[in-house]
Amino acid sequence: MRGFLPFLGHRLFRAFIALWLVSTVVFVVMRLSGDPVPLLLPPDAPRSEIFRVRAELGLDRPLPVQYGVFLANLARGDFGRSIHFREPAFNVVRDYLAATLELGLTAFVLAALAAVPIGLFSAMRRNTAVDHAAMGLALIGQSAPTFFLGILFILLLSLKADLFPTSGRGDWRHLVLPALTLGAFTMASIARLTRSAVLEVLGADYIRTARAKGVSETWVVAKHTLKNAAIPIVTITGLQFGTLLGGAVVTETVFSWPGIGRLAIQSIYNRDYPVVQCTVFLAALMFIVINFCIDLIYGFLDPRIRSG
Amino acid sequence: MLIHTKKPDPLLPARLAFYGGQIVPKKYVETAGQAALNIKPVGTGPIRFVSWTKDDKAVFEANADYWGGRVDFDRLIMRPIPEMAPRIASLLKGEVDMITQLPPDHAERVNGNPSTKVVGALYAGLYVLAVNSKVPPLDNPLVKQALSLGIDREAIVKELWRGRGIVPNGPIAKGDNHYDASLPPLAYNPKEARERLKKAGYKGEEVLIETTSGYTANDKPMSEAIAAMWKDVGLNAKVEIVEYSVRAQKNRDKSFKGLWWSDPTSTLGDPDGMMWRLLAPGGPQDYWRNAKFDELGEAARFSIDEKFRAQAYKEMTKVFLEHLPWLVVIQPYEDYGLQKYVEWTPNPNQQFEVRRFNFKMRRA
Repeated sequence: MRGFLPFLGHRLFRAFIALWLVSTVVFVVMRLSGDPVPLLLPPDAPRSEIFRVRAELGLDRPLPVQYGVFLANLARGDFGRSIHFREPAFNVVRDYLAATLELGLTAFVLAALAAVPIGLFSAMRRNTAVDHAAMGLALIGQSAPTFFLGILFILLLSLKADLFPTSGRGDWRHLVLPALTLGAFTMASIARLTRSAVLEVLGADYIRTARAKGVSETWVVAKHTLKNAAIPIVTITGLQFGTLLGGAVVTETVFSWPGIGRLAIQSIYNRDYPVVQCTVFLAALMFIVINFCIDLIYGFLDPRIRSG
Repeated sequence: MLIHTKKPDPLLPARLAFYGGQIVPKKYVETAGQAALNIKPVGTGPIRFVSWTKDDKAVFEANADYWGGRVDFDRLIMRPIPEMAPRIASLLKGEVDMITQLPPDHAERVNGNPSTKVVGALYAGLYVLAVNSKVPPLDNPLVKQALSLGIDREAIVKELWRGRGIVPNGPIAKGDNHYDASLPPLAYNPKEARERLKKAGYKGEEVLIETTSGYTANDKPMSEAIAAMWKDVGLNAKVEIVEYSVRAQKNRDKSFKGLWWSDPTSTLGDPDGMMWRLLAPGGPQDYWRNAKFDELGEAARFSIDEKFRAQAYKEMTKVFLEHLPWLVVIQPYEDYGLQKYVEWTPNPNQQFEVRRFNFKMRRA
C-alpha cells in the first residue's frame, strides 16, 4: 500500500477545508437573511422584550464574536440551541435524520439495484426494442418533476390500486411510494450512464481480444466490461447517494415524510440559524464521507489513481 | 370564584372561554416549567396528551374522567399533510376521518365520492387588504374609496372561491356581536371609482400590494385579480410577492409600503376582539388615526352597556367606511372533508370542538 497514507491524509485535509467553508458560508448567509426574533414573538411585543430575547440568543453581539463562538462550539460538536424548538439543534436534526436515512437508503438501494442491470442489459441489446423501452423509461424518470411523479404514484398505486398508503411514516408499505418517487431520477441517471459506460468499454480492443481468445460472453461482461466501466458508474452512484441523503424537500412534502429536507426549509423560513447550520453541516459531512469512500474505491478499482 | 378587573370588561366570559382561559396545574408548571408544559401539556379537557413526533403526528386519548362526559372516540391522531393532493387522497381512500383546509375547487370531488362529504363554516373573521394610510396616495381617503369601489368582490367570490364566501358590508364579520345586517354589501362601481380618483387629484402614483403566496388562501390570485381591476379604473397598481418571514418582519417593523393581506380572526366574537384589537393606537396595524374612532373604540371596550356599544360600533363603522384603514374583500367559508360516518360541525373561529355534543362517529 505504498502512498496510501499520504493519499488518506490529503483527502482528510480537503474534507476538513470543505466542511469549514460550508459552515462559514451558511453562517454568513443565514445572518444576511434577517432577524429571527420578530418571528418568535407576537406582533405587539414591546421593544424591551425584543432586546431581551436578542440578548438571550446572543444575537446582540458583533458578528465576528458570534462567528468565533460558533466555530468554538462547532469544534466541540455543539451546534447551539434551536431558536424555534428551544432545544439543542443537534437533537432536533437527529430526530429528522433517522427518517431521511430510512427514505434515502431505501430509494438508493431500489435505484441502484434496478439501474445497473437495466443499463447493462440495454447496452448489450443495443438498438433493440428492449433498449429503446428501457431508455425511454429512463428519460421519463429523469425528466418528470418529482412533484408530478409523487402525485401520480399516489393516484395510481394508492388511491386506484389500493396497494400502499397515501402518505406518512410507518411500516415498510409507507416507504414504497416515496422511495420510488425519490429514486426515479437516480435510477434513470445511473441506468443511462451504465449503458454508455458499458458501450464504451465493449468497443475497446481488449474486449475484442478477449472475444477472439474465445472467452465466453458472460465472462467478458463480468470480468472485463463491468470492472472497467465501474469508475463513472461508481462516481454517479456516489454523487446520487449524497443527494438522496441530503434530504428531498419535494418528496418529503408530497408524502408528509418528516425528513431533514423539510426541516431545513422550515428552519430557513423561521430563521432558525442553529438548525439550518446543523442540517447543512451534517448533509455536507455525509456528502464528504461518501466522496471519500468513492475515492477509496477508485484506488481499489484502479491503482494508478492511488499512486498518482 | 371572584374575578376582580381593573375596569368593567364586557367580554370577560368570552375571554375565559378562549386563550388565557385555559386551566393548567400550578404545581406542574412551577416545578417542570413552561417549556415542559408546552412539550407535555396537562390540562382539564376532554382529551389527554399521549405523544408528539415533530412533523409526523400528535396522539391524544379520551379522558374518561372528563366532567362533561367521555368523547366518542378512543384516540385522536393529528397528522400534518401539507400538500393538498395527498391530503384529499388520504380522505378519499379512508385513511383519515377528517381533513382541514379543503380548497373550494375540490369540494365537488369530495362530495361526489360515495363515502365522504364536505362541511363548512363561515369564517369568524375577514380577509382584508390592510392599508398603510401614512404613505401617499393612500393617505387620501378619496383614493382608498376609489380602491374599494374598484374591487369586484362578487367576481372574486364566484371565480376564485367557487361561491364559498360572502361579500362583507364593513369591518365587522357576519356572526359577530353588533354585526349590522341592514348595511348593503361593499359596492363595486368602477365609474364612481374613476370619479373619486379625479376628485382626489390622483396623478398615477404607484399603489403596491405586498402579498405572500399561499400564506392565506388565494392571497396571490386575489392580489393579481384586484390589481387588474384597479388598472381598469386608471390606477397604477403593482403586485410584489414577499416570503412569509419577510411579511412577519414588515408586520413587526410596521414597514409595509402599501397594502398587504391580513385575515384577522374575531377571537371573541365581538368587534373589540378584531377591529379594535388590530387598529387601536399601538395595535399591530396602527397605520391610521382618527380621534372619533379612537374615542369610541376605547369607550366600547370598557362599557357593559350593550346598547351603548352597539351605537359606538355603528358610528365606528361609518368612520371606517369613509377612511378605510382596511379594504375588506371577502368573508370566506372554511371547508373540511369528512367521512360520512363522522358527525361534526366546524367552529367558525377554528376551535376544534370534539366533545360528544359536536362530534359523533355513526357506527354501522
